[in-house]
This record gives sequence, C-alpha cells and structure tokens, in this order.
Amino acid sequence: MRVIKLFRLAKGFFVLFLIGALLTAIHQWTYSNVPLFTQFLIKTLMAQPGIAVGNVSVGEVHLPAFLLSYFTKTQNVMEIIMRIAISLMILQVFRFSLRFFEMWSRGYLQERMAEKLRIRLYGHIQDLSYQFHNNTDTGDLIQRSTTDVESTTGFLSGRMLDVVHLLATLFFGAYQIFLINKTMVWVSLAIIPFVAVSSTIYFLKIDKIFMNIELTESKMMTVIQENLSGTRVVKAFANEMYEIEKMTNKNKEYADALIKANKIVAVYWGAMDFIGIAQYLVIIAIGVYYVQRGLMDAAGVVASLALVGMLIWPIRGLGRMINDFGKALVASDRINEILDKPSEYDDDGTQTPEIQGNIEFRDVSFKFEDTNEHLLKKVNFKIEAGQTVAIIGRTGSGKSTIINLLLRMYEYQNGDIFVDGISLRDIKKKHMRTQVGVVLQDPFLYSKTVYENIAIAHKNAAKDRIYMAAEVAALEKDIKTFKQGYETIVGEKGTTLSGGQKQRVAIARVLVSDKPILIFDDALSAVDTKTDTMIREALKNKNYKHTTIIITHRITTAREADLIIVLEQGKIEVIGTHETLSKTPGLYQKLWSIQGKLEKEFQDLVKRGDSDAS
Amino acid sequence: MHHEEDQDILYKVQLGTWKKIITIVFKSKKRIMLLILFSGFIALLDSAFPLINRYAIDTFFIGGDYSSWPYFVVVNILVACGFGFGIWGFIYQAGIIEAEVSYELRRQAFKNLQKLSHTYFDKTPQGWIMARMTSDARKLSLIISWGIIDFVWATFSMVIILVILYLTFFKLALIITVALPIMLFVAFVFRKLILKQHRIARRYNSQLTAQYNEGFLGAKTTKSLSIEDNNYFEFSETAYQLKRYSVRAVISSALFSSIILVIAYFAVATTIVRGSVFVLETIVTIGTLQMFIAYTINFFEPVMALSTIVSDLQNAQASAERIVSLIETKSDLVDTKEVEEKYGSLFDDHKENWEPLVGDIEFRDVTFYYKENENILTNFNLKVKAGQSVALVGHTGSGKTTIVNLLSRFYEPKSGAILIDGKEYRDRSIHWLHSKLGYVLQSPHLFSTTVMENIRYGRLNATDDEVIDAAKIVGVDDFVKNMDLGYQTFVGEGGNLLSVGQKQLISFSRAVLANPRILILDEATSSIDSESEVIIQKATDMLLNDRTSFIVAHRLSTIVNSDLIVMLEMGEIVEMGSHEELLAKKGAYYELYRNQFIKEKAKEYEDNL
Repeated sequence: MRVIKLFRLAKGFFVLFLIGALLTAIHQWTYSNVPLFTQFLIKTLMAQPGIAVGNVSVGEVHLPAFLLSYFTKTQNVMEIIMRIAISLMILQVFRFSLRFFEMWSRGYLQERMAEKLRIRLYGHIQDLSYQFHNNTDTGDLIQRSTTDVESTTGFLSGRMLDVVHLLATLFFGAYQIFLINKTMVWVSLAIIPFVAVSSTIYFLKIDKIFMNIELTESKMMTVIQENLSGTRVVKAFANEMYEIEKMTNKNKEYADALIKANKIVAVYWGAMDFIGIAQYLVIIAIGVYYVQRGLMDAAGVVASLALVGMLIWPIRGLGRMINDFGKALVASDRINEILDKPSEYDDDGTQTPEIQGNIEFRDVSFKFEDTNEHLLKKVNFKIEAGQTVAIIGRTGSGKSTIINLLLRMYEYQNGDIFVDGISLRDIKKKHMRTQVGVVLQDPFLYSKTVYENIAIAHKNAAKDRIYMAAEVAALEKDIKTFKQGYETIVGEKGTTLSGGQKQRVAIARVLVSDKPILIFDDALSAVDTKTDTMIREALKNKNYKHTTIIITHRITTAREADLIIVLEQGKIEVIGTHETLSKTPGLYQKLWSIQGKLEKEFQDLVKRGDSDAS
Repeated sequence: MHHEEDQDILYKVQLGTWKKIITIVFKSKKRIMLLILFSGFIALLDSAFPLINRYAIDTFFIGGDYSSWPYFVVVNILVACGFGFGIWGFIYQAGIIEAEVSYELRRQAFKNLQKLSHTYFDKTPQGWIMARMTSDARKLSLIISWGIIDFVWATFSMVIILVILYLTFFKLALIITVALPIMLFVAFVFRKLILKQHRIARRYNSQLTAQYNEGFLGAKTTKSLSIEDNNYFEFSETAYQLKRYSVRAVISSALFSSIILVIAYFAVATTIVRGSVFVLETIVTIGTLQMFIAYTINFFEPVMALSTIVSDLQNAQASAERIVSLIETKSDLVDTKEVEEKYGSLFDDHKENWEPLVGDIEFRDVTFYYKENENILTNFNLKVKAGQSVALVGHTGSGKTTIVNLLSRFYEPKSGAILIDGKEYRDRSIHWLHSKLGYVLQSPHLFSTTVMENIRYGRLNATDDEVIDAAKIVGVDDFVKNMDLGYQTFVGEGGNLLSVGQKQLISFSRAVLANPRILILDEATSSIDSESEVIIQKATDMLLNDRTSFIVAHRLSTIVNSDLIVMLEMGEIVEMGSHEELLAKKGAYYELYRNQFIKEKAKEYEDNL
C-alpha cells in the first residue's frame, strides 16, 4: 500500500519516464556494440600476413549484419579500417546524442516532477483548514515540502531510471559476452549476487552511521548556538576558556564520528575495486584457456575485457538504490499524510450574494472535534447593517471564535449563522472572506514592500486609495521614517516593524476597499488610545454603509459602540449599550468601575507615602 | 539580508584568504603527503592497465607464448591488491583530512568569536555565524580534501599517460596531444556556464523555501484576505523558474560531457586509422594499438576531473572568505599592551597582579553612541558608592541598558571615563572586570545541561555543596527538591523544561555563586503570576545584598527598595534620589510610578476577577 502510494505521486509522468527509459536502454545497447568494432579491427589486422602466427581468427563478430557486409565489401585492408573508424565515429556521435537526450529527459523528468509536487503541496497546504494551521509546526511543513519532495521525486525519476540503466547494462553486457564466450558470462555473473548483497548491507549500515554523525553535529551546534545567544552571560562570568573547552570536546566528537564512518567507506570501496580489478584477471585467464585450445581469438578477449566492465561496476550502486527506496518511502508517507487531509473547500457553499452586513447568530454552538468542551454555547445575537458592535469578555470567553465562525474558518456544529438572511453554509467561503475586512490579533506581513502589503488583496487599486488607507490607519508618519518609504521591504526578510506598526499596516490593508463588514480582533489595542480613537473616527466617516465588529479590552472603546456584546465562558452574558450595561451589575460594570477605582487607590498610596516621609 | 546574497557573486580569487586556508590545511601535512602518494599510486595503477593488456595480447593471445603466464598472474593479483589498497588509502586519508580541516576551521573561528565584543554580535545575525561554522566549514573541507585527490590523480594520470605514449611511439601520441587543449578549452567554457546556472537555480531554491515559510506562517492571514490564488500564482512562478534553471544546468552538463566524449572518440577513430597503418607496416603491434585506443578513451576522465576542481574551487571561494573573516575579525574592544602585560590576557591571566574590587563607581563625562551623530549618552555623570543599589528607570531608549553595557565593558565610552574604585577601568583588563562582575539577564540564558551545571556556570570551580548553598539562598532549592533527579535534572534546550520564574531563579543563584562585587540585574518586563513574583522579589533582595548593583528596573517593588533611583530620559538624568524624595517632587517619576502602579494593579484585578 505504501509502495503504491509512493508510485502514485509519479502519476502523469509515465510517458516521460518511458521515453527516458527507452533512451537509456538504447544507449546501453549502442554502448555494448562499441567493443565489437575493436574486435573486428583486431581480427582484420590479424588476418593480414606477418602480423600473427598461425590461423587465429575464431568466432564471429556480432555486429549488425549490414555493418559487417559494409566492412567486407572491399578487399583493401586500409579501406576496411577506414570504414570501421568512420562507422564507429558515426555510432559514437549517435550514442552521445542519445546520451544527451537521455540526460535531458532525466533532468526534465526529475525537475518537472518536483515542480509539480511542490506546487501541489503548496496549494493544498494553503487550502487546509484554519485549525490545521493552528496546530502545525511550520518547520515541519517546510521539511516535508523541500527535503521530502526531493527524496521522493529523486527516487521516482533519477533512481528509477538508474534501475533501468542497471538492468539494460547488465542485460546487453551479458548478452554480448555470451555471444563471444559462454563461460565468461557465467563466471562474471556468479560474482554479482555477492557484490549486490554486500552493497546492500553496506548502504544500510552506512546510513545508520551517518545518523550518528548528524547526532554529534547537532550536539556541537547546540553548544555554538547557546554560546552565541548567551554571549553576555559568557562574558559577564568570564567563562570564555570554559566555552572553548566545551566546544573543542563536541567538535572533536563530531570529527571522530566523521572519521569513523569514513573508515567503513574506505574499506568498502577498496574491496569493491579489488573485486572489480580481479574480475579482469579472471577474464584474461579464461581467455588464455580458450585461446590456447583454439576456441577463441585475441579479438574476442579484448572485446570481453571491455564488456565485463558493464557487469561489475554498476552493481556497486545497487545498495544505494535500495537505500534510497527506503528513504523515499518514508518521505512519501510524510507527503501523503498532508495530501490526504481534506481541503477546507471540499465542503463549501455555492452562493455569492452581494452582502449588506446584517448578521444573525441563531443558537450557535461550537467545539473542536477532539475536545468535549464547547467554546460557544447557544449564542444568539443580531447585528443590523451599518451598526458598530463591540465584543468584550475575558481571554478564552469565545470572542475570537465568533469571528472565526463568521469567516467560516471553523465549522459550527449546531444552530446557524445568517448573513442578510442567507445561511452562511450556503455562501462560498472565499466570497464571504472577500466581503469581510478583518484585522487579526497577530497579523502577518508578507516579505514585500509596505505598499505591496497594503495593496495585497487589491493589486490594481489606485495609488491614492493606498495612500488614503495608510493615512487613515495612522501609518503615514511611520512610513516617512523608513529610508525607502513605501518601497521598504517588510516581513520575515525585511525591516522589522513594531507590533503597533504591523497592526496598522494590517488595518490599512482592509481599508483599501470598501468592505461591507469590518472586524478588528483586538487589533486596536496594540495602538495607543489616541490612534485608536482616530482610526475609529475615520472609519465612521467612511461614506458607505458598513458593519463594524470590534473585539477589545478597552472599555473606552466599547463604550462608543451601538451595541456591546459581553461574553462569559462561551455564553452571552448580556447585550446592550453603555448606558444600560454600566447600570447593570456584571462584568461590564466591574471593568468600567476599575478605571476609577485604581486612580483613587493610587492617590491614597501617595498620600500615605507623603505622610510617611514627613 | 545582505549576508544571504553575497554567495551569488562570482568571486575573484583572493590570495590572502587561501593563504590562511592553506596554513590550516597544512596542519595535516603528513596526511596530505600520504594522500598525494595514494592518489599518485592510483593514477599509476590506472595507467598500468592498458600496458598489462598490451602484454597479454601481444604475448599470449597473438604471440602464443605462455611461458610468462605464472608471473603475469602474480603481477595482476598484486595490481588488484594495490588498487584495493590504494583506493582504501586515499578515501581513508581524505576522510581524516576533511574532518581535521573542518575541525580546525571551527576551532579557530569559535576561539576568535570568544574574543569579539558586542558590537560584532549586535550587527551579525546568529544564523549567519551558525551557517559559517557548519555548512561553510563542511563544504570547504570537503572540497579541499577530495579536491586534492582529484587534482593529483588527474594531473598524474595525464602526465603518466603522455609519457608512456611518447616513449612508446611518439607519432601516435601526437593525436592526443592535439586533442588535449581542445578538450580543456571546452571543459572550462562549459564549467563556467554550468556554475552560473547552478547559482541561479540555487537562488530560486532559497526563494522557494522562503515562500513556503511565508505561505505557511501567514496561512491564516492569507485565508482572511482570501489571496490564496495570488500566492499560489507567485509560488508556481518561482517553482517554474527553479525547474527552468535546474533543467538548463542539466542540459549544459549533458551537452558538455557529450561534446568532450565526441572529441575523445574522434581522437580514437584517428588513432585507429593511423595506428592500423603502423600495424600493417609492423612498426607497432596490435597490443600497442589497443593500448593507444584505451589511453585515448581514458584520457577524458582526468580532463573532466580537472574542470570540476576548478569550478568547485570557485564555489568554495565564498565559503572560504566568510570563514576566514570569522577567524580574522579583530575585536574593537581590547586591552592595551601595558594592561595585558600586567593583568594577562583572556587565555593567560596573571591573577597574582589583580587588585581586589571594592565597588565605588563613577561615570565621568561619559559620551556614547552606537551610530555616529546619534548620541545615546552625552557627558553623563553618575557617582555610586560601594554597596549601593541603583535602579535605572525610564522608557525604552532612555539609555538604561547602555549604562549597564558600558559598566560591564561590553562597550566602551566614546569619550569620558568610567572609574572603578577611583581608577579608569580601561587601565585594568576586561577579564579582571568580568571576573568580578555578575550579570543577571532579563531573559535568563540557560544551557542545555543539568540544573547543577547551570548554576555552577557562575563559578566553575565551585563544589556541589557551594552550588546547593547558592541555590538555597534564592529559593531554587525549594523547587529542585521536588524534582525526581534533583540537581541532576536536565533543563532542556534553552531551559525550556522549566518555567520562566524557575529559570530566573537559577540565573539568580548563578550570580550568588559568583559572588561578584558589582552586580547588574536586567529585570524582566514579562509578567509572571503573583506567587512567583513574591519569590522573585525575595530572591532579588538576597541578590542585591552587600554589593554595588545596577538594576534596569521594571518592577515597582525593586524600584522602591533600591538606595538610589535614577530616572532617565533620552540619555539624561531627569530626576535622581530615593523613592520618597522623588514621589514628593510629583514630577516625571511620579507619573511613571502612577502608570506602573495602575498597570500592575489592573492586572492583579483582572487576574482575580
């Protein structure tokens, strides 16, 4: 099953593979013919008077018949030799063109397969659910998309063609020797199982040893890394000498592991070369035996010597193929694990209505599949288009969950959500998301310029709109301090922005277009109170109707909303306006009163301090 | 960012860099001699084969004379053994050289890193240094050790073959002599092209990884913005370019080796024709002709090997330069010759000449900047008596950290002086100061070893009992007691098996063990639960007891309890005095205290709500 799944990743490449395989096979066949030219040449020369003693030509040369007849059409020795040389040259040019196309198709197969798989993985991972991304380590995903893709496609293309190459070489090599002398084939082939087995053992064993190398290396890297991140501690305690000693030990262990592994490598390749060379001697010995008895000639021995290389050398790589197969199997498992996860768009609505901004939650409950605790319990509320709504509540009360449900990042189990009276389940996810401008708690900036980041969802927006959005988000001043202004690259590989700056870029991003629904998931708390007010003021003045949902900790922000939703442990505690809620006992009132209370407490303390001092 | 890109520049050979590398490689010179011997030996045996075959053909198969057969077998077995031995030997030696060279590169780089000042670490990303110490060291040592083999083997093979051919029959040897420069020319032209294409492909490859990273890290934002299609398109484009240039490199390689082979076989065909004439004229034997053919076919291999070495070296140039820069960077913060003579150096201190440290500290007209024209401190003055605790308060960028960095001599004043016990601190060695200084970090830095060893880091020669005593003083003992392995508990990488509070306490006990006269405490801004807060507070009191201490303070309780509060703004002291004095002023400190107070209290409320 695993093997089938591994090979299924090569789907769509069969024809290309076949072309590569065919080119490889033909190439090896032409290659196996090359020594026969020398064989014919030597036969021709030996047949001339005064070159060799006695009647020495034994056996046929198994070149294609048309070549043989072309060679022998003339009686002139020099003419024959010219013909041999010219046809050998033609064959070789043909062979190297084949070789060229073989390498090309092989490279293309490998790279194209990797390209396709990379793109497929990227697209698929992008489409996996919000929850998947919440629970997955990026480093691991990258590992799967890079190293694992390379080992898998490398095996499916290059290594599989190597198998074809190996088989073709063995077959044609053995076939040509067989035609010259049967004993030679059997003797040569006899050694193959031995080489194959030791090669397999070697590659499996060396793999384990290399794991030990990686282990010692990572230990050494830890020491370096801890030293670098702790330079202050190292210097402040004057422990530089100790650090050098510590590093020297790990450095040595790593070097020793390398040397140890290399000893095995050296013995293996030494032994393999010995066997390979010894094989030639065996062929010569057999040759001597048969030539002495007049059953073979010098030309045959020379050709066999050239051909026997086709049998021994390639086998040494067999272990590598088996080893790579094992690795590819593991790598493809890891890739398939991702590909088997369903895309979030498998379950999608179909409608793409124009959205006004009326939102209704009706008995909505939500929990993650693998837990029992409900994050939202029977939540009911109604927001009318154009309203500004604040959601407050403690950490874990379910504020962000409401937003994620509205964007259909999560699937709700019970109840239903309606947007302009249409069930959210019927609306296309991507459509809904384009209609909602949301600023997440921890927004992500792409490694592009500030300008491109603001324009990211609306590449063709007019420049003015971008500048306007930046102005409304109170970004202008910050951008002016950047050396390259709007062209400054931000994100992972660029200038690092402060949390507040990031938030404001994200805010500008959603302000570029006029979205019917705007959501700020605690996004305004990272900016100071003044900017917060300015941004909300600017939003109000936008001359189109939009629903705004603000999740906040700031009571002052919540106060100005048309509607305040107070959440408590996944349930709605109360819904109302500041007027009503500040008079009703509950969370909102408590938070509201803390502001005043603290101020008083401080004054008392200072007074006490004053009297203590005096 | 520029650190990543510089690998793509085509480097000119720089002699200084390679000189340094060669001195490092020469530390293994005995092995290198052996390696050269082994490579030469293999080249010799390689070239012997056609000779042996010629003998077999002429004597046995054509001549029919088998009298020397037993000797022939013996020689052949010896050659096979020699071959096995030679291959074993050069792989063995090259492996050791590779390990030794990379060991030495890392050793020297690491040793030099210990001498460098913070200025260096501030502007050099940790990842960059890590990459030099690992992948560059690996790459360079690999290319050097195996490059030697290839180079020696290739040149030896070519020379030996040419010598044999000329000695045998110079008229036929001329053919290969003509082919050789053509092959070399083609090789170097193509190598350059291939190298360039590989570089472009590699650049797209790292761009691809960056896009993966971004795509996965930003997946949630991407979804919320619904820009999947756009990202997918951009990614596909990069993946396509990567494929395009990888395939191009493959095509160039394929074309290259095919052309070289065609040239080689053209020489073979010429040899066949010319050689046969000489055979027919019985000037040379069939065996000799066969030998010439074999040598001509074999000749392209050393040519390929030589061209590989050249492009490998070009590739390694960038690695070499970066490592050498790591080894040779000079610290911008060093002791003067006189000071070093008296107090010794980092690696050889003269402890007998060290004065004790009392702890009076004075900043006298100190001016400091990281970047010219952007002064952090200007003519800063501050006097602290031995044993006092000083809390530095103020906003980010007010100069608090700079003051403690200067005091720790992680940096030095650009003008003015810092006096310790009345004497300019540059008149004593850095090592002297650091041996008497304690530094407790904002975010504690633990090593991935046991609790015991982490505390012992404060004073390496402390006994287990002394370590445990120090642990008891700040309350580490209280939680270590409950661990199964006690002080032998492994703290995990960066101490991540412990809580933040526990890590801080361990870092405190480290300082207690060191028992420094001057203590610097960079307080954490991160909040911890109120229970830990109380423990940390108690530990802080113990820590500050009886020594001169500078605290970059964030917690109210620490500030309130210190002897002297220095309120900073833009590198200047705006208010200074005790807590009570400053509160009475109702100035900047009063405001700061008020805000901090409300913040801490509000959090307390929220926790208890």
